[in-house]
Amino acid sequence: MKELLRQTLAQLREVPGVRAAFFVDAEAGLPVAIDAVGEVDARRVAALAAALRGRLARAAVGAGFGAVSVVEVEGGGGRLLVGGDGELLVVVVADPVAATEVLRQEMKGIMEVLR
Amino acid sequence: MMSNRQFAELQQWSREVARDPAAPAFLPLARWYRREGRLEAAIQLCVRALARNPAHLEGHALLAQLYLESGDRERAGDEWSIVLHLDPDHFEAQRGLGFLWLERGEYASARRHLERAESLRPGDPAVRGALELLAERVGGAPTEPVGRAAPKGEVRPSAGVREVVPGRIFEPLLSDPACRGVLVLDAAGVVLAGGLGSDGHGSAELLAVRLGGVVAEATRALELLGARPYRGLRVETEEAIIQLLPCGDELFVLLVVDPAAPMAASRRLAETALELVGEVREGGAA
Repeated sequence: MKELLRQTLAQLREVPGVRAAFFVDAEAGLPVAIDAVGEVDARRVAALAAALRGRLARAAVGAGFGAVSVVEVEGGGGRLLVGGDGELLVVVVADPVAATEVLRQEMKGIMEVLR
Repeated sequence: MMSNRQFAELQQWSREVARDPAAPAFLPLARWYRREGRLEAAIQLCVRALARNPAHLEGHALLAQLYLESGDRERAGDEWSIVLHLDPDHFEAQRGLGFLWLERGEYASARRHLERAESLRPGDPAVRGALELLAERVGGAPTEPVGRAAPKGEVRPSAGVREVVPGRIFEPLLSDPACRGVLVLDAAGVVLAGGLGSDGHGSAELLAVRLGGVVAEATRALELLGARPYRGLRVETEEAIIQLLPCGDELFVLLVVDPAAPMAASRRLAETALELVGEVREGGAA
């Protein structure tokens, strides 16, 4: 299973502009598999990404907008994408210029497989 | 020991909620579970009922209390924000949010809620104590009384947003079939201006109050990645694409778009919304 997760992350990292990709335990907010270049504090990013996604999911469901598939935070120096609606989340850290539409589609494909 | 009458009532409530989770009986049943110390069961009852009836004031107020008692202050705060959206004069919600902001060191927000609570129920010892603690922390005496909170649905222009007819700012966008709603919010999720579509998919206003503080969390994540400043948040859901875009002075545009809309349409709507806010602000400054 770990190997499959690693292969999936490697595939995500092939998208231009992706700095790091990891799977995160949604409830614990801990990374379970990581593929990154350079320094990324995966544990802290995983915790923040899981908390943010959880909060947005509660907000969306509570307001009648249904389940959340992908969350994207855009910053001047990069992007954070979080996908998934089950026990595992897919988290991607990317450059501002990364092809986010491609990334979202890739992430949705992975989420389908994980279901 | 439970009397026969109480037992019969409990059975009746349980039957009604089993048939329909949003039946009015969910409230006394959840309160009974709370009295029995079964907080998780009470929370589940409220969550299921509110998913079907998201505007149930007492349900949100009880859920806030249950979250608080189970130690989940963040969710308690979310629920109180919703209560205030439904009823700005709700004492427990004003007091609860005042305490929460005080704990977090957000003194301006704490003062706003606590003073409002004080005006709703003068002399409440807990509110008085919190205001004294606030005065100790920030120095000086409690400030002048705050004005009346905006009634439900009223637009509160502030921070450079020109006073406009509610809902009119974004009229050009609301006629676009891809646009389901667009609002201007402050960082706490208070709706300052804007309007909603009426296709029956979700409530952008309810979403707004639940999004209070979410930008601060997103900004923390960006800071960790060395990727500040915050430029926006996009959330894809079953029913909509939701965007939260900064428009200056700690104000945000909340844009709700049809999930089937092409990416380019979604981007165009976001750009137009920001332009419209910019025009209003320039007009206000002029």
